[in-house]
Amino acid sequence: MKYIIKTVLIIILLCGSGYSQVAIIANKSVTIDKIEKSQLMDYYSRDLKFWDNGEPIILFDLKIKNQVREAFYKFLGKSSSRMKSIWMKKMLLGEGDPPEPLESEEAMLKKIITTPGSIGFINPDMVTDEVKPLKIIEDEN
Amino acid sequence: MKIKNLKLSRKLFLGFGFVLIMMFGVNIFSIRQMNRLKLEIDNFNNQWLPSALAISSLNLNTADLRRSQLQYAFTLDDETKQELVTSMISTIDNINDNLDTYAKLKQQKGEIQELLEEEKDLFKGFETDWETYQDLSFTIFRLSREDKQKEAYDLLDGQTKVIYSSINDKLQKLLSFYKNEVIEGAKNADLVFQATKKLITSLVVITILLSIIFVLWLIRWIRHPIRQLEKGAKKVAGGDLSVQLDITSEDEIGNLTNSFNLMTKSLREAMEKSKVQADRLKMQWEVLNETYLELELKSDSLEKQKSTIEKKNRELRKTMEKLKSTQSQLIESEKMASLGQLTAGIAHEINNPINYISAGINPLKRDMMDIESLYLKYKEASNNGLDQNKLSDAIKFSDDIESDFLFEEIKSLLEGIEEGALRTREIVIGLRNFSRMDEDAIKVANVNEGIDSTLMLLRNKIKNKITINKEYGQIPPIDCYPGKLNQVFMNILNNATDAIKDVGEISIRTWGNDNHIFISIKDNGIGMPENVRKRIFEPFFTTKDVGQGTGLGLSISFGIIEKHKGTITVKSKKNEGSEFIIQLPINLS
Repeated sequence: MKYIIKTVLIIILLCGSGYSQVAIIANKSVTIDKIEKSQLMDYYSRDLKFWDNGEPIILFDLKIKNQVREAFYKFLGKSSSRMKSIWMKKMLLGEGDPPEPLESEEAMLKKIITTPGSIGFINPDMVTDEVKPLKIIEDEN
Repeated sequence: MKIKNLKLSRKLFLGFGFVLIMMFGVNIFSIRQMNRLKLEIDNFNNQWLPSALAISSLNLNTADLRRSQLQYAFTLDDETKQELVTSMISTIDNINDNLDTYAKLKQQKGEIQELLEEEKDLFKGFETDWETYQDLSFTIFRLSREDKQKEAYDLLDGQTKVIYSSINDKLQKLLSFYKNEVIEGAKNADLVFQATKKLITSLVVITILLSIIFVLWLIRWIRHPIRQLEKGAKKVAGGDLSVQLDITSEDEIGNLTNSFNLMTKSLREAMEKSKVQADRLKMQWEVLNETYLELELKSDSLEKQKSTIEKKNRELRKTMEKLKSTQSQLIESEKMASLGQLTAGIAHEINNPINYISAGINPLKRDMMDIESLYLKYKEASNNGLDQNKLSDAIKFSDDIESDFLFEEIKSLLEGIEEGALRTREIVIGLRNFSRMDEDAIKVANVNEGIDSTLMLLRNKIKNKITINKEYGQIPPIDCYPGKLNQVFMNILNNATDAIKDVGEISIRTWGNDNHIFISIKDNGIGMPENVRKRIFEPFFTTKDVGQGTGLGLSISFGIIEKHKGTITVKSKKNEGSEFIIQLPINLS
């Protein structure tokens, strides 16, 4: 019985706070160290374009359609094509271009290390000291 | 268990239960079929129709976007361009709305029905194409922003065109898929409806038929035996008691039929029995009548016989009285006989001590004479002064008669006489005690003493021949006629001594309890065979020679013990001896 309860709890935790297949990372200059899903959505839908310190938010996307990318969009709650529709509208409105699509996760890591105010996502195994991993927290509501 | 043997209520319950279950089954089936139909309609309303609408709208909107993009590429006028951008923004908004609506529908769908693989694949393909198309659009916008109109147009006309036609193709396919689903769904629903209609109709018909069959069957099982019973009852009412009905079931009616059969059977039996009894009574009446007539005849002769019997009765009474006096005479003579026997014994008994005395008398006389002579000699010697010659003469005489020895002899003779006198006295006392047999009053007496005095009288018969073993218990004196009890002891002891031919022993034991005392007199004499033992208390029964015994001794003893409310029993074995046990109550009243 105890085992069953434990297993169920672990599954719930994995499902709820899960998405361990993807790590949200930011440049060291970024001041926040944790992030909510809705917050991330605000950034990626380009509704928010600046960090609290006024630095512009620079977003990256992956060109290749691998598991990490899939996990990222699943976490966001919208498909990549649906996100692109949002970006298209913003682009037409002149509110900024879509995130730059990068060839690989390594390229993403490199870009984020070198670009201040940037944010992106990679495989959790690849996170280094040179970037700031953002802790994912559940939405309050 | 056969249904036939169930109780009536159970049969009815079963029947109605069966009909109810059938009805219920039909209802459940109908509701299920209706639910299936409703599901089809729900699918139609909530899935296929809105999905088809969303996809068709998506198709129109993507076409719009494509058209605007193409126009944008060819237009140089900034105002028109701005208008086109606004139009494109609203188109994208519409597309996004379409996509959100569709996504929501598909989320719902999971609950209603599994997402169909074909639909899923088609939409996935659309999404991929749509993403590519958007990526291309980004590039095109960027190119036109950088005033690279030529490249932008090339891209728009080349790769983008291909992707767009793919998008269009996929959306068309999805639409036709939904169209098919809708048509199929409608067809399916119609089929289900038709089938349900048929099934429900036939089920209702079957239920009704089965119910009718069941009810008919039930009526048959109930009505047939009841009719049978009715007929049987009518027959019985008409006087026919031989009616026996067949029992066709084990329900209440079966029980009723069984009871009916039992009833007619017992009625029949009762009738037969009463008929037999009536015949018997009639016969008895005739016999009685005859007997009465005979009795009437006889009563006359009875009258005569009565006076004869009365005469005989009187004679009998006379004889009885005579017998009674004879009996008392006999008892008296028995008493005399035993007294006679006793007298002989007592005479002999007294003779002994008297012999002591008389045998002692002559020597005593002689000795007295010697002493007298000696006395005279001494008197003579001392008469005129002491004469020495005469004195020495007297002394010599004294020596001659051995005067020392003489005194010794006198002493011993006197002792013998004294003993003889004492013995005589004892015998006389014993006789007196014994002779209390004539006393007729109840006295308190000790049985042990009674036995002793009886033994005293029998001493002559006993001595040298028989050893007496006395074992007297501590018994209280009892209420009794002592003389009569002594007579009993005398009888038993006398017989015991007679039973011992040469030598032997008699054991006398007495003991008692709270209410009774017991006396056991046992000898080891010749004993009695069983046929003798049985008769010893009968009057005039004797084993002794004629003239030796009256045959009344033990009979009288038995009477005496009865008078004392006691019992006397005897155990005996031939050649081993006899034992008489007398039980007497301590208090006679």
